[in-house]
Amino acid sequence: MKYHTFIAVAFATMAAGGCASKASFSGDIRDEAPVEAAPAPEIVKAPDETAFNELQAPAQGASGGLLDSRIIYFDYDKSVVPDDALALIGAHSEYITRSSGRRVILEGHADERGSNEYNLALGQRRADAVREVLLANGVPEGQIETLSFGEESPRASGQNEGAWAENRRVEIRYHNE
Amino acid sequence: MKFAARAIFRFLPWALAAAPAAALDLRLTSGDWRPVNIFIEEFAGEKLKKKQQPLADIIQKDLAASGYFRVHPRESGGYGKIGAEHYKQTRNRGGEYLLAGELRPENGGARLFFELHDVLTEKETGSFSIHFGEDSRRVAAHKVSNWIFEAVARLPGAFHTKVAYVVRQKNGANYLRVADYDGKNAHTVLTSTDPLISPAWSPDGNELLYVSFERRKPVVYRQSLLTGERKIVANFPGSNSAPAMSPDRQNIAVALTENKSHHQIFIIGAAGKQQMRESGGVDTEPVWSPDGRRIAFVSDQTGAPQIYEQILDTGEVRRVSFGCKYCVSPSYDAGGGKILHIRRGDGGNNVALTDAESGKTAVLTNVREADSPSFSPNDAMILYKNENISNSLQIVSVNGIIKTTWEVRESGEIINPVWGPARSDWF
Repeated sequence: MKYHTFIAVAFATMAAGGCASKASFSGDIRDEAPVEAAPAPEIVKAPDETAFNELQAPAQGASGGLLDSRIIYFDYDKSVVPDDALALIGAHSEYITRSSGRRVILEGHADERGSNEYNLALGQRRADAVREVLLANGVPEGQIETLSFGEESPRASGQNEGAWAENRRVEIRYHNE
Repeated sequence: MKFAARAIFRFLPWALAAAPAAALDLRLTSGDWRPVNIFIEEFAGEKLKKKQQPLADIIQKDLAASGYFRVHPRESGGYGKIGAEHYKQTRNRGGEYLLAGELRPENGGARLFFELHDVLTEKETGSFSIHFGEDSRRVAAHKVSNWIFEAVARLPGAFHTKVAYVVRQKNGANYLRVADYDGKNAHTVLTSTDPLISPAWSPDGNELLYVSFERRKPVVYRQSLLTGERKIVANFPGSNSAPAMSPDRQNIAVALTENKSHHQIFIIGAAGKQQMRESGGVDTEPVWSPDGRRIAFVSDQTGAPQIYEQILDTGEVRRVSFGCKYCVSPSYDAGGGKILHIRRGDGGNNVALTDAESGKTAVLTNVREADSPSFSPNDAMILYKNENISNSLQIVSVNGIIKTTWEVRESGEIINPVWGPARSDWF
């Protein structure tokens, strides 16, 4: 299990020059920072919620080569599942229905253009659209989870259509495998 | 006063129905608007340490960024002896105001004495002095800028204010930062290995709300800037995002999916959470009007995202943005009559301002990809992000004319910059 550790540091601590993380900022113009009372840094550990980080591919050979494909790409600003992704989703649908209890996570993403918040909603809508196809293919509702990372977890960097197209996607992931 | 108020907005491409409460003492040339020409002398007696910016230079950049002034730097020498010759000379070079000052050591720090002159009437507008220690010289300069702005524009200055933003590094590290409005004096408030987005100020400036993905999904937090203490605001099943605190600080609007629908807006208060309305599309990015009676938000109920406004008492919803393929990220001006947002046009996404009543709109920037616009507390300036210059803070004057880039030199991409509220005792 991976623990996500977060260090919440009051800015005043930084002002007093007491925090190591300042080293990572080249632009930290601190020579004129007023010195404040420095509260102790707070260490926050996020609870270890799920086995999310241990998701792996389903067993190879379970249903054929299409299962190796995990990504469905979308058009700009669109959340309509493209026809050419239906076979891929169909293969996963069959795999999930045959593996009772297997839970799938559909993770929606957007490219960087537009607002972070609207893109979060757009990624969610893409994940929901793939979910609808799974449901139509007979996958039980309880085995599907959806999630959006919006534009925050790109596969490709760069400000061009090539990168953007790669980032407008839903990734299929599986629990506990 | 009314005449002057009209003058300010002449240069907007559309007329505004309501005059602002206070207005700039603008001088008119052929019935047209133009900024006030101010000459600012270097201050006599200033001893600069390495890398220190001269006080007069800080003030010059402040006033220029506001869009209300055209600034002319000048050598020192006038303080205490401004007379007829100075007035004449400055006037001949197009000057209307003249600022001169002198620094004297005091109590381990220094005291800046300064005087502002109206060179057209040949009268001193005012004189003042301010004491500061070594660690607060920038604050002192911003306060002087506020004083000049108030004396000439008769509007509160917004130069001694704070902004918040996230810095995301290539290795995935995220830093929630608070800085002076010009990007200086930056401090880290929170560090995370997972994405942080959507910082939003509490109206008193004591807290930041934000969305963190540290639980492998978007969860809304609030964090005290005084103690560093953080609390969960919304961690419901599904997605939790887009926080905005009401002006009375009693409620927080958020966008939730509750694992059962598109994002919808909820208001969380002492009585629990309540859905603002039910819509067939995505509803997100809620912001409160200054009187707390309306919420502007984004909805794509008609297909593309547009700005809407809901009157909370009656539930009445009206659409604010028209003729727009993609309009997102609304925020109100201090008067509550105008809504700032991002509008997609042929050239890309740009900052635009719409009169909520008439729907008239002005586009204020001309870049490929603008993002996250927010007003300065006095509505004179707008902070936004230009995706193509991602490690800087961009400021545009509300008339769309004066554009300023503050070189922040953060070692990563700046995400979601947002201007903090006015307060007299900013750290």
